Amino acid sequence: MKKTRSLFSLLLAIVMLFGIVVSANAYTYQTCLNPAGDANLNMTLNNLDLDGTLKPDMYKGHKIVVAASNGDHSASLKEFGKIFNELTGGEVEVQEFPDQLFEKVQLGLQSGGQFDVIEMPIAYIHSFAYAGYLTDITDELKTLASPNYDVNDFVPSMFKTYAQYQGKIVAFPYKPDSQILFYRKDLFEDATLQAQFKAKTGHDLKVPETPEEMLEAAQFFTKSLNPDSPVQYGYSTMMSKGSGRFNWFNRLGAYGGSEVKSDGSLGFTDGSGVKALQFILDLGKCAPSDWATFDWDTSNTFFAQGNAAMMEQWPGLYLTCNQAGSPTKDKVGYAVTPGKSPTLGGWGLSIVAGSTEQEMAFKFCEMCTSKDGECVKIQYTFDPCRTSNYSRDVVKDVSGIYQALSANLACATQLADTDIPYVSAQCGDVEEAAIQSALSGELTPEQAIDQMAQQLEPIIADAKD
Amino acid sequence: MGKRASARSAATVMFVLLTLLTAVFLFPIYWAVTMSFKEKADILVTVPYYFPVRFTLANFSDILRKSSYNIFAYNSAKIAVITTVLCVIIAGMAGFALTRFSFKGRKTISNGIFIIRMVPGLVYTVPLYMIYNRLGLLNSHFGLIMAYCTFSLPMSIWLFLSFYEEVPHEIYESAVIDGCNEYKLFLSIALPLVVPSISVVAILCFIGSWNEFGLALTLMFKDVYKTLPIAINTMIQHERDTPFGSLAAAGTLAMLPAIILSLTTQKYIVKGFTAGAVKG
Amino acid sequence: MPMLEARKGVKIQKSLSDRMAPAVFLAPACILLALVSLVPIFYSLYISFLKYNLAKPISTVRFYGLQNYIKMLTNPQFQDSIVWTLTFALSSLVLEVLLGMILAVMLNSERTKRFNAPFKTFLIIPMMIAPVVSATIWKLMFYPVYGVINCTLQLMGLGQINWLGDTFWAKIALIIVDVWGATPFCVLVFQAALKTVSVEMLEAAKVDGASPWRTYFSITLPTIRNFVALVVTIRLSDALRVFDSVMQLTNGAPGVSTETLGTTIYKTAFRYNDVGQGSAGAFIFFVIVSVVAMVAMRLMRRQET
Repeated sequence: MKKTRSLFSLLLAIVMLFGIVVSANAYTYQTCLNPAGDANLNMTLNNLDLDGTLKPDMYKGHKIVVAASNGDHSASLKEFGKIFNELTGGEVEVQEFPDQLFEKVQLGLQSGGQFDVIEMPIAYIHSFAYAGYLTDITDELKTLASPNYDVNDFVPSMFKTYAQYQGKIVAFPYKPDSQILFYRKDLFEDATLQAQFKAKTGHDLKVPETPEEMLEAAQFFTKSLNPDSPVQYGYSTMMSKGSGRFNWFNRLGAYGGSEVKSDGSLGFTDGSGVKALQFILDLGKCAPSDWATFDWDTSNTFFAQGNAAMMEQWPGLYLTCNQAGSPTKDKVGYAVTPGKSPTLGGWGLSIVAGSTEQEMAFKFCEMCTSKDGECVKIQYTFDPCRTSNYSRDVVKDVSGIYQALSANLACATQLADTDIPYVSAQCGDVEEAAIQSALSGELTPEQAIDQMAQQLEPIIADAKD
Repeated sequence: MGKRASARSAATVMFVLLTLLTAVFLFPIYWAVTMSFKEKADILVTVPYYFPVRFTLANFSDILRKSSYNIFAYNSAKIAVITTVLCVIIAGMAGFALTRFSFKGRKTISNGIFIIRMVPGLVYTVPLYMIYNRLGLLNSHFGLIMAYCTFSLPMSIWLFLSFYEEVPHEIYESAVIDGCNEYKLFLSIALPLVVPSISVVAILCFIGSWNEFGLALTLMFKDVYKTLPIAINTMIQHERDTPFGSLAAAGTLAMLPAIILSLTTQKYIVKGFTAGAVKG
Repeated sequence: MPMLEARKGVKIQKSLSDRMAPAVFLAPACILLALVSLVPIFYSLYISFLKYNLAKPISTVRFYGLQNYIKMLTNPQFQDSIVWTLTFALSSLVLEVLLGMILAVMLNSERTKRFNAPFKTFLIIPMMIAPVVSATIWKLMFYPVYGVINCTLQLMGLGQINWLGDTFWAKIALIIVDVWGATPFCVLVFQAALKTVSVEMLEAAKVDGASPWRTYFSITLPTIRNFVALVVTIRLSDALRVFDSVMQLTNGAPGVSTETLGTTIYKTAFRYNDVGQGSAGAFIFFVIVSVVAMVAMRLMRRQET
């Protein structure tokens, strides 16, 4: 009896010791969700080790190279790299390439052996997947992922557009991006203006949901059309070369069109393209004549300075409007783009098929996109991709824009870059050229759309080659 | 009007003109430097602040503390200095050979060098990447220096040629009669005569290497190897407000060594000329 | 002309090391140029005959003959960019050389000797700035609504100009930026060149009562003719290859009217991933630049005896 009792207590002691050791190693991460360091947006994350599937030193001596875009992209990934290193001992090297210069990644992928993980815009990921450069992670998601990873938690339409491609899963959603309607809350909710609007048009002033409503509201708020307007312009956006097509995409869906259909044929030649383009020209009368040269900085400053009543833009405008000293601070509301077909941007993480560290790369990407992992990158202005995170305590208070963002993401299907492999950039340039010609009056909308279709068809055909 | 008076008025006219032109030329730089001291909100405004209303050092502290600015600056400096030294030596020798000796193929070589300079940089990007990748020279300063040196050679040799051609052959011949061999000729006679071109070539080489962007972008991957222009360019981020103040601060700091260099070598050029040999 | 025979007919024996001298002096330059310049050029030439897309798997690369060249040459945008690039280069060149010469003459003149030192230093500075930085600063200055140039024009009562969006003004803006960046180089070389003009001849001309203009055109200019040819050729070939400022300021906008040869080829190769066609375009580009430069050089350079 004595022997078994002492054996039993020894066993108990060992178990207790083990328990202490294990719990002492539980990894917690403190983060502040707001880049400005707002104290009540602090958060403690406990599950970065993915339910214990990331064990200390499991990847010691191993290394993966991540190719990422500059600025917040690489900064967030470097932070993840640090965390991953603390958790597993594996080294993560982040190599950053400057804004929009994707050729380094192309060169690296083709010559092989350069990268293990890449962070790219979605259309490019699809292109690489088509060429066979990326790993299909469908199986790994079932076998390698931690039990709580929950793939279905990602915003469904986003996951479908970002991660799924030709029956495979090729990416982890990393940065969601959608066009959002920004509007001057203070103007739209002003009783005097509402009365004036009703008197002029016969119905109530509300946040526009259809293109027609937006045009009407824009006309009301444009000084040249309505001398009583409190602001100069009813609408503004960046229509410069390289960004103009987003606005056109925003309208295409409302008129029943799309850029390209899944079989590669053009989806805007049924008249929707012309309608959308004509709409832009009509809207242009309510917008500054310079808008064709407005880039990110100028257009955002223009709106944040209070010159326009409405603007469609990527979420980043929110930061410009709400920084200290901005005339429109706390006066801006956010909504779904009229027509309910906002342009979808977005970046994803993908594993390179030729990488020799498939498992480590997978676990790294998994960590970055896990429920807790997503909260790490919020401080770098990278918004969550998971539905649960949008309703999660503290997270939902981060930014007034989250509600609108998730609403937009839920109905967005049109990608900012053409979703045909290899030729995204070329198609984008063709569309931009045609839209710019229409804006300057060089071509009529019909001619512009014809030119677009004419130039796009051979390019797309060539891509299948 | 007396000669003195007309001379003075001519001088005044030139002074005014020079001041005006210099002011116009320097305005963008003045703009960049003042922008680096401006608060963010003062930069994109509809009534520009020609002189900063509010001074701030935040932009400078931002780049000096947060980014690895000193690493990039060191990289750039190291590469630029080595490239310049190598280039001056190699081009100086080549220019000498092309004017001093007449041999078969001299014309072809000098025309060839002339033509190589016309080749657009794009031609080199993909091949150099692949070749360097094969040789393991990616991410290495050595590879970049070799490339920079080579690309500066045509222009440098050209410049040296122009100055070498001004040197009369008699000088060489009299030295040869005195028993000089070719190497001594080069070092003690030819080089001193073309000192001004050394300065010009050195300045251009240094600046070219210091400011080069395209090739460094293609061949450098790791952060620790990057040069200043790349570091500055990465401050421009897609879909985020461009930090114009910090960009200007980084650009201003990057300008400093080059400006100091030009300040110091300016006198050298002038000295070189006045100490030069007698012109026939 | 045999250089090693002294005039008195005494033959000098050349040592072996002396005979090897030309090779020794030229070797480093030739080796570097051959390895780092020629090899990639030939490799690029090889690529230009392939259908080679960077985004597609390497198995799709195949021989394509002259198709890349034909496609490039028949591309209307490429043709337009050639016209614009040539126009741009010539306009910039004329302005730069004139301005550079005027400045150099002023800086070199006796009359300004007392105060020209600071000017010499200041005028060099635009050349020192990294193209990345200067292009961004100029873009900022040309910005609509917020750019300092437009604001200044507004303050002077002249109204704003749509610098980056108007077909004509965008081109002017690009020329301004190029002239700004390249004039210092011209000033530098011309200054050094002017110093080679023999002071005695100038004095003699003055004594003879020649006007400054006459002196300049009959004595100074012919003496520095080769330097002028050098500057013209270098500036021409550089202006034809303009890239950074166009990408930053207009990105080819409005529409595609300011796309230069450089940007078109870059976009073909790296934005559209067609390295084969891009390389072909680059060689066409190279031919154009060489021809123009050779013609300029031939026309301007003093013929060698």
